[in-house]
Amino acid sequence: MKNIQKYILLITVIVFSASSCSERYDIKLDESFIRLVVDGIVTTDTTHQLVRITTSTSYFSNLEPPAVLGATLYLDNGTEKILLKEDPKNAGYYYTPTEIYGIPGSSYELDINLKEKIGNSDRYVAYTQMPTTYFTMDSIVLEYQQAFDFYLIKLYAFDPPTTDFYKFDALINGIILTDTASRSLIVDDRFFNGNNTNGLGVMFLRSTEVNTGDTITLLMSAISSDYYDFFVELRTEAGQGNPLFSGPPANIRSNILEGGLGYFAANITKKASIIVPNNPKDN
Amino acid sequence: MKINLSFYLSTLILTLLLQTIEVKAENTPDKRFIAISGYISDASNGEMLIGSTIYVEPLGTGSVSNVYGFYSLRLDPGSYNLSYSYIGYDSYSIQIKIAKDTTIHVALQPSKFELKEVIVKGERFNDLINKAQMSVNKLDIKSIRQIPALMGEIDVLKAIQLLPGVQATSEGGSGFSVRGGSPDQNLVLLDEALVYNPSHLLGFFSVFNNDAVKNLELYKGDIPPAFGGRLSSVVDVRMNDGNVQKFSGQGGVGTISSRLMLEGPIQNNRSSFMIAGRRTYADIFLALSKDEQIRNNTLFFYDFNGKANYTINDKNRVFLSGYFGQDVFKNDNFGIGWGNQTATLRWNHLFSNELFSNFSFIYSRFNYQIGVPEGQANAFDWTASMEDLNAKGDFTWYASSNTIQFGFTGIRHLFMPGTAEGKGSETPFNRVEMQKNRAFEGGIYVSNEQKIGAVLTLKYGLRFSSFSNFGENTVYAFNENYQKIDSTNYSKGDFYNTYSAIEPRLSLAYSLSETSSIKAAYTRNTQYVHLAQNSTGGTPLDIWFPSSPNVKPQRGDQFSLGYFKNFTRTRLETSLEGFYKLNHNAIDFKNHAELLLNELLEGELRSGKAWSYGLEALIRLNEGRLNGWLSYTWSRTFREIPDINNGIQYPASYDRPHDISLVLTYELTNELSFGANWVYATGSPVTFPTGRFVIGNTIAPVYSDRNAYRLPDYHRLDLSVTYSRKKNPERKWHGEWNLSVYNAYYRKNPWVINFVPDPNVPNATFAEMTYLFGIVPAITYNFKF
Repeated sequence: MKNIQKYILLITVIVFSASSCSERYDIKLDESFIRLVVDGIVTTDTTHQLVRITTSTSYFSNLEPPAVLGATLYLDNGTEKILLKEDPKNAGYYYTPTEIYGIPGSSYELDINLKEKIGNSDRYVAYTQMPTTYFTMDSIVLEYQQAFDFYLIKLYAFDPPTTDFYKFDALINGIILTDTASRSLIVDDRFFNGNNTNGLGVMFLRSTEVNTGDTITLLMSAISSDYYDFFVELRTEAGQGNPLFSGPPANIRSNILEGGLGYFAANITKKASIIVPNNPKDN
Repeated sequence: MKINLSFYLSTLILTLLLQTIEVKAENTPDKRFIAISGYISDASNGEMLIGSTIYVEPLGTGSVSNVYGFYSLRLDPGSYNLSYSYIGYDSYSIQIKIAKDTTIHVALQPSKFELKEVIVKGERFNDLINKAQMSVNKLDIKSIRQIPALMGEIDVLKAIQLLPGVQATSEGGSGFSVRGGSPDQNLVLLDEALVYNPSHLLGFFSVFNNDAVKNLELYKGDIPPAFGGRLSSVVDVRMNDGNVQKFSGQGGVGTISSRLMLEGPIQNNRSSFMIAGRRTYADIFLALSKDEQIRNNTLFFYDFNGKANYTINDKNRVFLSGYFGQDVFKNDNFGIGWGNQTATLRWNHLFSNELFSNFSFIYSRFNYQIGVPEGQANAFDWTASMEDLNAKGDFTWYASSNTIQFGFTGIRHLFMPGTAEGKGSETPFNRVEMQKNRAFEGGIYVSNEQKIGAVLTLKYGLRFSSFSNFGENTVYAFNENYQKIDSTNYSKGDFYNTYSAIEPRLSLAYSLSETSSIKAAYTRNTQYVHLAQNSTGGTPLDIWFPSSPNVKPQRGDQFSLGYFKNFTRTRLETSLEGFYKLNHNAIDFKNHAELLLNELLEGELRSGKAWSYGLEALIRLNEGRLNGWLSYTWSRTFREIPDINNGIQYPASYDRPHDISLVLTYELTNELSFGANWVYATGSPVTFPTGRFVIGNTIAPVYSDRNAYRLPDYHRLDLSVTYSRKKNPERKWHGEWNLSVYNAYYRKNPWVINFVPDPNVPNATFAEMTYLFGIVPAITYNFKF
């Protein structure tokens, strides 16, 4: 869908390329009150489970989001309540010990106790459930597309006949490439439900981002339907609107109770890697 | 209270109608009146003139020709002076003594200005003052052609945006809002056929080729009972019939498109044809682009209009007309196309010279297809369409002080909201098919326009409409949280849901003098089909959906009151109208609604209340070297929908309190004329962020209340100059050059304001304004032969 919009916008660009123009615009905006922002994910990976808490700011603050320090966070997986450790190096990050990892189908509660009130509350809670999707991820293939000078990551995986939602992220040599919402891909499975994906194109990498010999890793995460909606909304609202397609702007959903922003998600993540054989730009 | 008002009005109207018919029936045998009837046409080509007036002296009464050029008058035997007139044509007067029913066909000559002040000959019937009809604007194609146009593309839908109470929904677009209503509440008709998506190139041009268009009428309120199915307006566009006297043509070569229209008699004065075609060639310029991505695209639209008519005899005439248009955009990786198709077969029959009738069979369709060609990654095909079949009959009975109209219509709707499937044997994609929706929309109506005494004219009518969904279909049931809880299957032909409504329409004109009157109107309308669209621009992916067990029809009540005054023998028409409009079951969509390929679309709908009110002032100058109008509208429009903006009322996207249009054309000499229009409107309401937060590396907004801010005010000046070569009587060919400039003083009118991350400064965001048009000059050569 996003691509279709992109192409239709291209029509506008073509038609009005002679005259249309964008420029910076001075505008005065009102301030809204400060709210707690939670960005937390539990995954099936055997690594730290990370939660970042910050606060919202005025729109043109133009600063790093203010980190919330000294909070007490618990992750409750139904059997035990794990205390998260505050990261001394990265302000606002809290993490679990490495032996903690998510289990498909489990429910999680994130319990945040603040030193002082943000908004109207000093305690925020979020609940989430990891989906139970038994998808398999076989391999990925890189295909260089000459016309546009980019790599297409093609996916070989099996999607079970249940209704599922996926998020795709890419790492280059272990470093996340898709750290902004616009670069991740999220899809629901209705167009390929119950199928082998047969080389479905899931992500583009610009040839300038990739060197011969790099390891490209594709993360495929099964996500909940609500987190899928959250991510669609995040992408829509963080991206640019235009009168042709955009519905009226609306706030992004959140599963943080007591009026928090952001999301606490639980994803099943699998990965496949490939080494870049020969980037034409390196020749 | 509202229901009661409507009920009482309906009862009253019905009583009046029955009495009228009873009185008529009693009067018929002795036949005290004599009928004068006939057709009024253009002497130069035989085109029937719509809305030309007939003035009867010494009575001071008159009549107006209908959309087929037919008129009929009831008079006592005696001597009269009849004056026939039409804007831009020389009036024709005839002194007659009548003793029996008489047929008078009149052909009017287009007026030729000499270099002196225009003298208005004779008195003329002031239909604007005398008729009870209000909230209507007429534009003939001649005046539309004189208005400066974007890229020189004369566009009837953009011309009506310059009328009071009508606003463009986005810059340069042909979408419009009438009196605060949504664009999908406009009934856009081309030779009676519904045009679902009347735009080309993403709405920047309309589907109406001005060479093929004869006349346009816009009803903004007080919609006649013959029309139904939309809440806000009716745009009634009529095509040329075709020259019955000689073979001729006209066309143009413009900056982005070329046009050609040919017309001529099949048998002299008996039958004729008209065909018109237009194609844009924006893509020819693409080849010049340095950017390979742009160079490899194909982008154009084309359309055809065709019409033929045959006069069987004085009492029977048949017309066949059609439209076919298509937009094409494609490159190696992607293709999209969309288009409208319509066909209308009509039969005019005079049962007597008092009873005129027309029967129409109409087909109309809109479809689009999107795809990635086979051989590319993720190749797929996606199609959607909707299709109407319509049969209708309309009758006008001209009685002495009454004009009674009645008729019926039946439409079978077929909606195919979308089918998507993968291409190629290796495709990972399933076929996803939205179920078809079928419905029948019916209507019957009767109305009467009655003169009571010398000063009062009353027009009252009733329309009964109904809408039924029929199978086969699956209907979902939703709980109060709009979650699907159940589904019911209906078999083929099973009528499983019906809505009906009685729609009273009432208006009256009270003449204060020969040149001024006060009018009032009340109208109820019901709308059974709705557009799944929540952006303001309008895209080719517009798909309509029917009312159903989950979707109640939209209902609109409108009250209007106006004062009308003509000066100096109708050279100057002025009017002031006020309106209040209330829309029940107004349709909106939940936040972040998914409207495409969504089987559970009905769960995305929210319905509530919308209302608008305003004042419209118009000064219009007709006939002479200086023509045009000045209109000012003050209006407000609001919505209150549960779940949207926390259920608190908010200004609708079309709420633009101040709206001014100045349209002027001046003929300096017979060869040289100038056109100018200036528009001003309060900026559209928009929602802006008032805070932000960060997820990952993504900066996300926290928004203000819905539509709490406004874009800067919109204003623009367009200019044009037309030079036409002196007519050489020896030559048939007549050419003219038109040079136009859109946005002459380079106003940067924001199309959109986005909030975007600064690529150079981490964590910084800024507001970015995009405007579509700088100064856009265009040159067009038009010709006639």
